[in-house]
Amino acid sequence: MSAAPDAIRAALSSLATVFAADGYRLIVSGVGAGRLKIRVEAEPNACADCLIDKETLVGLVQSSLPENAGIHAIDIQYP
Amino acid sequence: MVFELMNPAGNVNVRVSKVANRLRVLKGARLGLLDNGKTNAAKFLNMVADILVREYGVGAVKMFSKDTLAKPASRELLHAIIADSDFVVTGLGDCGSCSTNSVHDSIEIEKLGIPAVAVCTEPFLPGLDALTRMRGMPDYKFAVSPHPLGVLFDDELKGRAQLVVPQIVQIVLGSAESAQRAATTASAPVTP
Repeated sequence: MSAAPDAIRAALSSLATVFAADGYRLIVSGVGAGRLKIRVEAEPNACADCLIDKETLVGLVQSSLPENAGIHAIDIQYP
Repeated sequence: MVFELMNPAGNVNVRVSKVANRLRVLKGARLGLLDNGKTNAAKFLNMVADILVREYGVGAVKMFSKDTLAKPASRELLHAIIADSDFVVTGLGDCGSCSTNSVHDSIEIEKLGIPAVAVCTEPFLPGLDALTRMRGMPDYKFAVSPHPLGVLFDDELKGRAQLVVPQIVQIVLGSAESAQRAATTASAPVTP
């Protein structure tokens, strides 16, 4: 069973601030059945060279989630 | 809407490594600088090196450069760096990709056996804390500057260099007491 979406969002809120510093929005767009969906959107002022690559983001998410989050797969959508 | 499925299983069982042994003294130590190509990076690292040489007696300084700030340094480059250095400063980390890759490079250098300090700015600290866990070195410490660094003029950049050097010294020597001793020793008059 996956943790509540609000708990997941809270765990990832600091990562969201990291993305915001470069002009990106990190959005938890779905949580359920052990799967976490994350969408990254670019603001008009986003720095193209600054975006953290997907593989690193997955690792950062994994390191930021609580151990009992129950997430077994992470779906990433990048701009 | 298209999502790309990523398997996070590879990050679950990360082997935890300790940081490299700290230096006992800075005086005469060889400093390697790893410039990631970010605007102001080489200039800032040289300012840091100037302070370390002038105020702490650091010895030879050698600059190395990465092909791109958005990817980790190659193994060949990392080995070339540690062959000519006793400790390393990497930077600049004032964006998401450059900060994560600078810290990644420094952690890999630590794993190869010498202290390495990434200089990063404040907004990226939450991601970097997660990164040190992800890369298996949760005790790794980096030097922190106010944001930004890449767009500053020289006099502002010098101020930031002054700010991070004591942090670098403390990280490389392992304690505040050692850092204080290093500063005192370096400024002591030379006796014939």
